[in-house]
Amino acid sequence: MVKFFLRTTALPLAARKLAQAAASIIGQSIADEEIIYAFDLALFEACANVVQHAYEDGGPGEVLIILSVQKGEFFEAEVIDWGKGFPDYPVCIKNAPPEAERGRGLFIISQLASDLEVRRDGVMTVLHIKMDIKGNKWKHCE
Amino acid sequence: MEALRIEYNGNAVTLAIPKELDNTLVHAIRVQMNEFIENPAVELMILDMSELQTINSTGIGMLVSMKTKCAAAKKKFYLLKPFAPVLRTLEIVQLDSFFSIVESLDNILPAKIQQKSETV
Repeated sequence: MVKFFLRTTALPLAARKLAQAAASIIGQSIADEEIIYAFDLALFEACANVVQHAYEDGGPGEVLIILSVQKGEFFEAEVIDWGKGFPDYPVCIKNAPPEAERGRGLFIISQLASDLEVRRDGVMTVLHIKMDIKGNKWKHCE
Repeated sequence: MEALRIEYNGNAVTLAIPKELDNTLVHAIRVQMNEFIENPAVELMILDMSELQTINSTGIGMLVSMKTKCAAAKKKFYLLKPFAPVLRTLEIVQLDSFFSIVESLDNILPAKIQQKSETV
């Protein structure tokens, strides 16, 4: 398995670029543009969540993406922050009602990913996104 | 931040969203749209989404807010030509039928009189 570590300050533009950088790395291994788009959007949501909520009590703090690629099988990202975390674990993930302005981020990720887990690990909040990808979606050469 | 293109057409106003909808731009669109909502001369508001490549839940929240405010002010609100992946994201959160989505302005715009454009 190949691993990449991408880290920046949890500010909107920097966090967006971090997500795009991770999706770009995956784009070198995956041939299907829809998968890359979905992964980029999932990371966009995850990083925006850190920017908006993790460090409300004194930010901006940092966000780290650990990207792992098991070629021909899956790739996954752990989006990590050192902020306040969620109020409860396990985190309840559901769609918001139509008129709600907030509360859709985790639901969107859950619909894009093969697997989504949110956990507290010591002082870290870890959002784990896994994408199971069939063999023919992978590029043959890198 | 990318500029917002605005087109006036009678009592309708069209605001074109750039390729990437970041938090700064979401705020700018909210401010601009709120001005239109409070303007009694504006009856029809259109967000041109044809250039927008990606929307996240923050952007979706802004769209919901604009639609709700327009409805309260008895103004019409349309999303114009969302890119297929953006439409797919709206489908994921089951909002594709919540919004009035159009592929063309032909049937919703008044006659093209006093048309003008600006960039803010």
